[in-house]
Amino acid sequence: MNNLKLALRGVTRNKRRTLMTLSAITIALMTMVILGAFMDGATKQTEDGVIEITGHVQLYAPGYYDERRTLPTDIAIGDLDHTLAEIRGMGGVVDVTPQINFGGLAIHDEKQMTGLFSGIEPESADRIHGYTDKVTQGRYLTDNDVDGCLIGYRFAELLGIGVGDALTYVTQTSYGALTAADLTVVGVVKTMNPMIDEAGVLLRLEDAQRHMELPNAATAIIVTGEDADKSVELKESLLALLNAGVELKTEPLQPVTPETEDVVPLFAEEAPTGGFEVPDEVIMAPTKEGFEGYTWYELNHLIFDLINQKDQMLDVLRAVLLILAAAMIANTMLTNVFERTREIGVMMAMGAKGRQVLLVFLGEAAALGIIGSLAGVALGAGIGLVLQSVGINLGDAYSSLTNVPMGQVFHPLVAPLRLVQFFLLGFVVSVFAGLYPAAKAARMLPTKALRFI
Amino acid sequence: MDAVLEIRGLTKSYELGHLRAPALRGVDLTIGRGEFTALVGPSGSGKTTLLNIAGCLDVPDEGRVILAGEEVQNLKSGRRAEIRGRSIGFVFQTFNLIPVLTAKENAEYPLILGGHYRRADAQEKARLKKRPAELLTELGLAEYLNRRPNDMSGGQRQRVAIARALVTEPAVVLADEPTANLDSSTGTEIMKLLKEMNERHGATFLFATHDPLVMSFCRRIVTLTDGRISDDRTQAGDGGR
Repeated sequence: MNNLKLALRGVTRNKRRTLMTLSAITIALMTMVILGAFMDGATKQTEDGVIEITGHVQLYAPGYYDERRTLPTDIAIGDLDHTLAEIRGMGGVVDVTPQINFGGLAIHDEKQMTGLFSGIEPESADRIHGYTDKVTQGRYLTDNDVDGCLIGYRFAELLGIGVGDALTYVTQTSYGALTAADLTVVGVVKTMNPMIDEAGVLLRLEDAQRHMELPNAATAIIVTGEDADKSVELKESLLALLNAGVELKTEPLQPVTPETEDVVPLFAEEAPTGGFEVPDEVIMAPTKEGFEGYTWYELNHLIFDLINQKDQMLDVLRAVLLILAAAMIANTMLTNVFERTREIGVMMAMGAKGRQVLLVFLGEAAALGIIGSLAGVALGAGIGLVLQSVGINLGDAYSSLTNVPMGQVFHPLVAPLRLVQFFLLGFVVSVFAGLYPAAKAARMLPTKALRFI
Repeated sequence: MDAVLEIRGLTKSYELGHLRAPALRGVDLTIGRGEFTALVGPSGSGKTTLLNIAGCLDVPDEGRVILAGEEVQNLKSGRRAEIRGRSIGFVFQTFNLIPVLTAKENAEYPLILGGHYRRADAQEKARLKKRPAELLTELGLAEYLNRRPNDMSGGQRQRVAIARALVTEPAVVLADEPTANLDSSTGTEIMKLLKEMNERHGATFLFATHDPLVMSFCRRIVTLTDGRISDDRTQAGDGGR
């Protein structure tokens, strides 16, 4: 007979009371595990969604990030081919895709809506963003689709546009002139990115460069590395490589004349026929002004701040659950001590020291904690794993409402480390709750305890 | 006969509200090894108080208590607990067995609590391991070793309590009204067993009792009146046989 055996026997004395106490611990731990799985699932799914949208690191020309909400095209990365080659040649880089993002008015029939336009390299963009799998109508964009485009499914509904239809858009070129172009819809996409689904148009980078007069340039370069968790290191390596010997400027680029640089404004020939006046100066994409870089976490820190806030709120809920469970344990243990006062006296008469009495009752609290916590963690993990494999369909509304790129089906995530943490927490709280009753038992005077009826 | 318990000039009083009620008023008593002694007297005469102090459960206001050669009245509680575990066995009126332990486990419990296994070498440990079952068998409970107290009669429970008191081979067994919760035939049976243990193992017994049955088995009767020893006599102690 050892102390553990004795503690286990102790908890079986009053089965109904033990069962109620165990239920409290079990329910508290189970709820904590399930809530944890929901939180971890939301975080993981959001991270995956965010990474799919933003890649691991995004590179911009200096000053772009601060102005990014206005989708500026006058702050662009130039000498793109050379820059991309440099990035692709760097160790640790898995994939790279350039992008030109700009805002504009999308027009179809008599409907007009503000849209977010992205010029993409179809192949490399697909590798990073997985667009092919997200095409719901038509097909994915290819390098041969001159002035072809993909459109977000909600945007298509709002505009009443479908595959094969013409979409006209009006925007400002990088130097501020109004321009318009006709695109043909080749496919409709349903992504996790609410920006694309609600208002997005994806066209070839080449077409965007031509329309926006940004030859061999992009407003962003998206890079993925081997491990999303090492994005900070990737960013630092990229910036070290690309900014070597460059003194960073933080101001937007100033227009330069075509005569001083070897760039011909692409719209120069089209402008007269298109009714636009070609200015004397055009935007020249930067070459030697350096880069600024942001990781996926930095780009989406608001989302993760929100998740962390929710996590903190859950911490409060967890604390309340644990306090309730602890109160049950303390109550049970106090009742045990009260009921077993004579027994404590007998133990002392047989030579038990206060420390031994303390250990017996703490052992019982620990046994309650171990059994209840194990049951709670096991039940919570079981339910969590079922939900994880089945998933919970949140419907389209969720990501539209929250702007969090989570997708429709939410999968909670049961993390083994969390289970261990919760189990240990349940155990420690149980022992802690048993401390006062056990100390009360240990401090009893044997003569008084033996007289107790 | 060498003394296992010597009490000299023992006084003890309790606070009752604003009053101090004396329980013992200067008791001198020597119990020799192997004695079978009854401490008798009316309620409130100080029997239980004397037993508690002799058993290191309580401390006197004044006086000396020498148990198995060691003066114990001024010892700290931890050390007194060690002495209880090593040198004293207790038998209570209400048996006070641990309900979740079997008869054998109850009898073994003092060996664990008193650290007897911890201190013993391998050979002694093996001997001690066997002792609870041996004692229970000797007390007629061979078939009940794995029963829990709730599945046993009062007499059987008290026999388990006797085994528990003797398992550590204590210097003295202190028994407070051991027959009070038993019918007379079971009480007689228990007293016979205790007497056998006394004769066979040389165990020393000191009873606090009102029960003439217990007195009839004791060779020495010490009478306490108002906290003082008023009589100390010897008799046949054969249980009236």
